[in-house]
Amino acid sequence: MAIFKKNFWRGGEPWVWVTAAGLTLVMLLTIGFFAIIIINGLSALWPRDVVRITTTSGDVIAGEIIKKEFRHDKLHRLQLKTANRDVNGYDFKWINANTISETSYPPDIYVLERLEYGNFIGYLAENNPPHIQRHFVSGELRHEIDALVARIDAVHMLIGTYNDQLRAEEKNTPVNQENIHRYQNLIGMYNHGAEILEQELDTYRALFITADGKEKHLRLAELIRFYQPERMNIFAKTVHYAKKVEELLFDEPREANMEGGVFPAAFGTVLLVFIMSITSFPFGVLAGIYLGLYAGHGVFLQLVRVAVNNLAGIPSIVFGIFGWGFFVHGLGSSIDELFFVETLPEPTFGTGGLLWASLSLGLLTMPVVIVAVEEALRAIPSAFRDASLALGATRLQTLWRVLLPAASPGILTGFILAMARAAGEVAPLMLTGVVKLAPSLPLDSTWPFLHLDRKFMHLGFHIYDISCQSPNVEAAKPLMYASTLLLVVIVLLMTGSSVWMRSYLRKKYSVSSGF
Amino acid sequence: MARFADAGAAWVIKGGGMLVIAATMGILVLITAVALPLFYSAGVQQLAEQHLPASPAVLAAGSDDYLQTLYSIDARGLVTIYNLDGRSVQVSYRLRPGRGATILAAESKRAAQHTLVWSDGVVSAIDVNATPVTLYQRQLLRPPKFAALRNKNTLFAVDDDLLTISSSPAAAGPQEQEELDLFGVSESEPQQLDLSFTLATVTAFDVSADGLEIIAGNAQGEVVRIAIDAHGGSTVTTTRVSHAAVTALKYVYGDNSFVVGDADGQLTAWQALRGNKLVRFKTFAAMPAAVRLVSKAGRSKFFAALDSRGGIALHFLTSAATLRYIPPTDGPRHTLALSPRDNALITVNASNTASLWQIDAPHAEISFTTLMRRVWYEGYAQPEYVWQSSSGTDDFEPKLSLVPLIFGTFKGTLYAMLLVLPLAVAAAIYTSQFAAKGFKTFIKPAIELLASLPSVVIGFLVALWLAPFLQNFIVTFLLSLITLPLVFLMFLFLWGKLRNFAGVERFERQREFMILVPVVAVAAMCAYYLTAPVENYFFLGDFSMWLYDVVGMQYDQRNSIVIAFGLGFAVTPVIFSISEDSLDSIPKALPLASLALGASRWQTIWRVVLPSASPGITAAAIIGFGRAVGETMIVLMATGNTPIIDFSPFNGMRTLAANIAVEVPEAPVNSTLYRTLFLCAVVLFVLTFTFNTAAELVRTGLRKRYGNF
Repeated sequence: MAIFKKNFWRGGEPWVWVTAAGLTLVMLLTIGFFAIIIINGLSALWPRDVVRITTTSGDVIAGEIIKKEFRHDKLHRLQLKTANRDVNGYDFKWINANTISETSYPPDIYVLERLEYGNFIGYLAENNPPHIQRHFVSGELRHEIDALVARIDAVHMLIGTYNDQLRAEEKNTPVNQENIHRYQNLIGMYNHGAEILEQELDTYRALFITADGKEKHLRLAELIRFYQPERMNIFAKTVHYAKKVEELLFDEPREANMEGGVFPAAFGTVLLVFIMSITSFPFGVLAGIYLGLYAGHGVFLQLVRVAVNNLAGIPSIVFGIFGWGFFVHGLGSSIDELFFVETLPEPTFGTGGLLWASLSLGLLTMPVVIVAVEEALRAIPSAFRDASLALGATRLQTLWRVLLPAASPGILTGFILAMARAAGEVAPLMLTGVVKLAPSLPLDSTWPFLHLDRKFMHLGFHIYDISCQSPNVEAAKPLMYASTLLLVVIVLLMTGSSVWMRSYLRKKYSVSSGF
Repeated sequence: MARFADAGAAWVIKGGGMLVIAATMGILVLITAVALPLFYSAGVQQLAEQHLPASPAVLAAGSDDYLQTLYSIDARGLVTIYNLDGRSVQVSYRLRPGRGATILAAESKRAAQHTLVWSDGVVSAIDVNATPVTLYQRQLLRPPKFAALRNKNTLFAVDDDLLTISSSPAAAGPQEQEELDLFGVSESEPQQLDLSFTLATVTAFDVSADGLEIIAGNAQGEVVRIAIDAHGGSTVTTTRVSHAAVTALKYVYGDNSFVVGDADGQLTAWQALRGNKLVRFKTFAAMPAAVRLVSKAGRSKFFAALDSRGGIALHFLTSAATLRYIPPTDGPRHTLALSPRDNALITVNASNTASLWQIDAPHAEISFTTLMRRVWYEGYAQPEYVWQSSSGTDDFEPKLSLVPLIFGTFKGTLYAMLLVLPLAVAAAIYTSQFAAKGFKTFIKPAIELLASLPSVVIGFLVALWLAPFLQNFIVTFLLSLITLPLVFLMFLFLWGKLRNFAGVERFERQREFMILVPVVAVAAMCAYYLTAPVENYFFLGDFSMWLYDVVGMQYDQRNSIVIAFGLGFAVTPVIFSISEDSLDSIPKALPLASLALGASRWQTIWRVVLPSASPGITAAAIIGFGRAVGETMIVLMATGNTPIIDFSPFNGMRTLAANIAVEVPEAPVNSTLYRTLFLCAVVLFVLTFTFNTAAELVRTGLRKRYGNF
């Protein structure tokens, strides 16, 4: 090599550096990509500081700093999440840096998370009754309020049952007027009771004052949680963060999916992948075994290979439109005409649903399974197979007792890869039954428990929907970043485990083939 | 038993193999089967024939909504409705009985509605399916040559060269009352236009449904168009439309254009563009004899023309296609009408036999021409490629050209490949040939993880993070395209000198890509600090304003550069891993021999390794291309999905895949749009099939060439 030392240019060494630059750029872009997902995703639920800004014109604005925009190296403008949508009519505001005259971080300002209208940012007024004041320190009214809300719910449930009985009674012939009167009285009584309870609940209200001095009465029952970001230490913030993560994972979405959790979406994703797996993997395994063991060298084998290759290359949206045309409008409509005539024209299976989405996804992931099974079988040293056959086992016995057990970790790897692929796929679902808000989960306690005809929510579609079709994208951003990170973590965990498993297995078999 | 099970299992497993073929074929067959009816030629077949009792010439005929009955109106004013199944007369009644007047002319306003001109000067409008039958009528001093009643109370009458428009606020009553408005009695003065300046004798005439446009033709082949504006003023334009006499004029459904038939049998469609200039925008197949009349459809852009020998041609405006020509086999015909639902033609021949021809053309607006060629649509100044599937108004013609979608698909893909292909291939070469073994075992699984990243995540990040970011830093990005190579070159010069010191060379080996990280950072910093001066000096302080004002390009936030990054993230792992595999599979003997003969490491790569691996790299590029072509979510989320044909990197596109996702909610089952979306899927399938097969062929070629080592 020494003779080329001076021939840095003539030997083409710069070109090596060009290829290195390619790798550097790809690496930096990838790292940057993941950094953005991770940083934004992790920080999305962290409580932000609330800043109080006095502008040069004397206006006072309080809010969380969402974005700082620099122009030519100088702070140009700030984006504040001012919250208080119901008071101001907006919840985000840009402030030019040159109009800011004073900034402070008031310690006694509250951030309230509410059931409606997004967050509220403001001060607790001093003239609230003492028990209300204390509630914002110790949370002592929490139990009373929860109990009241529970009682109101119970009363409403009772009213519902009596209403049902009343309706049933009215259909009877002859109508039993006495019963009807009894039910009407009961309903009236409970309605009155509910009203009284509501009024009592209404007494639990606190007066808040926004940064610019507007007063607002807030019902405590509508507050999910409240905190004073400036008074929180790192520990309190971590607890808050943990609660938010819990909410994300296990709660229902609120406010057109822009707040709350993503539980139904995550649940839908898991259920979809599960049903997809049990409907499609058996066929994938069969085809894989065929390719790995049974195929000869004929035209048929070539055809299967071409088919697998192309099935893997077909755009996902084509699987979607196939599912839409074949499953939904073909099979589904036929099933409706045969078995659900009484509900027509309201479709049961003749519209998108969990089953059709699962089947479409199953077709899409089948090549992954096929290739994994084939490779797993081929990786088994042929000595295994020969020994078994030589001992008089049939091909099926060899397959069942020797080859499949040996290949099973590899096949499992393929399954996980296929499931990861299915978990992240959205395009086919948009045509076969995913919805932005499903009224009920596809799995519940009423017969037949698993409702394959129901529409479902999906994490990937949830991200698409709130980021592209939401009325208030800015307000939904934290939740979007958090759910994106969640989806990425789910998919990467699945893929990562299968990749790790495969490399582990390769090592194992490279040893066993030696003997 | 075991053998039996064995044989059974063999069949089941082979069945699994077959299932894969069946699934792949099934997908193609199904989507093609749904799309195929778009191209079926129109079916026109005779459904029924009905002899009409001997009576004076039948002036008009038609049918009801459900093709159950057929009616005729003869010159004496006798309306007869026949049952088509029972061959019996359902009802028969005489219009204006006992007056002794006969009908001179009957014009059809729309299916089952006619304007009749009587010999005593009465003009009446009737609706055969409605009761009372006569909607309104007006009395003129003498019968006009052409007449049309519009808007219930406006009469348009043409007498050779005088056009009279008279409005009266009161609509006339039902048939029994026969309330006649005498001309002078109406409250508003009739408006009269002397057409003799321009036309001499009027030979054809029509009025738009809203009564705001009037067209009249003459024997010299001229058409005068009178457009009445909101203030009652009118614009009159005369245009020569033919070398022969204009014999038929008819507005097509929607009233945006009209069809002209002439004495030579020529059929053309005209529309008024800006400035009321009449332009011919469609020419239809000529008929063998003079066009006698044109009948339009009430719900779509169909129209039918009857020639003087009795031949009938059914046309569709958008595609300018002749759907069917029915030759005059049963003698010359003298009336022609379309049924209310546009699903049948009704003709009456000279021997008073009425025929009902059922039309089966649900997708007449689609043809290869409308999908793939420029089409001159109503309201457009020239033929164009347009995708616009729906609109707010009913009289809109769907514009379903696949060209903007195919263009968009390739535009996005090409920009992505331009960005990613050199990077991914370079990275693969470095990783496989120059990088340390340990790095390699780390990078492969990492790339696989990257490949499994859901596209919705990429789409989300690109649309909501990168697009606004790039909008702020577009100049910085463009500058970095210059600073990056410059800084890199400067670094190489420096490094070339630095290499003379001992140890540097040993240090750089396998670490080149790490050493370059600060270089990239420096280039980015340069671009960042140059942004303000460059933007102020060259781009008048604001790049997107400059782009719009000086270059005439719009800067969209969700543009092709954003898409290039998004698709790039999706296809880089594919291209990288396949290229890397093919580089790795080159037998080690080849580069070792080259190095042993004294070639430098780059010379070895360039002359020995790359040529051998080139088919594999080509295959990688093709597969990456195919993947990008079919990608849906990224494009759906990160472009504006506007179906435009424009190469500018600063605006978006709509791809075939995204189009399916966008339009599906708007497409009723089995509608034209539904089938067109399936056609998009077929095109996508065929495209990806071609790419995959091409890549497979290239790879097999590689295996054949280097399989012997």
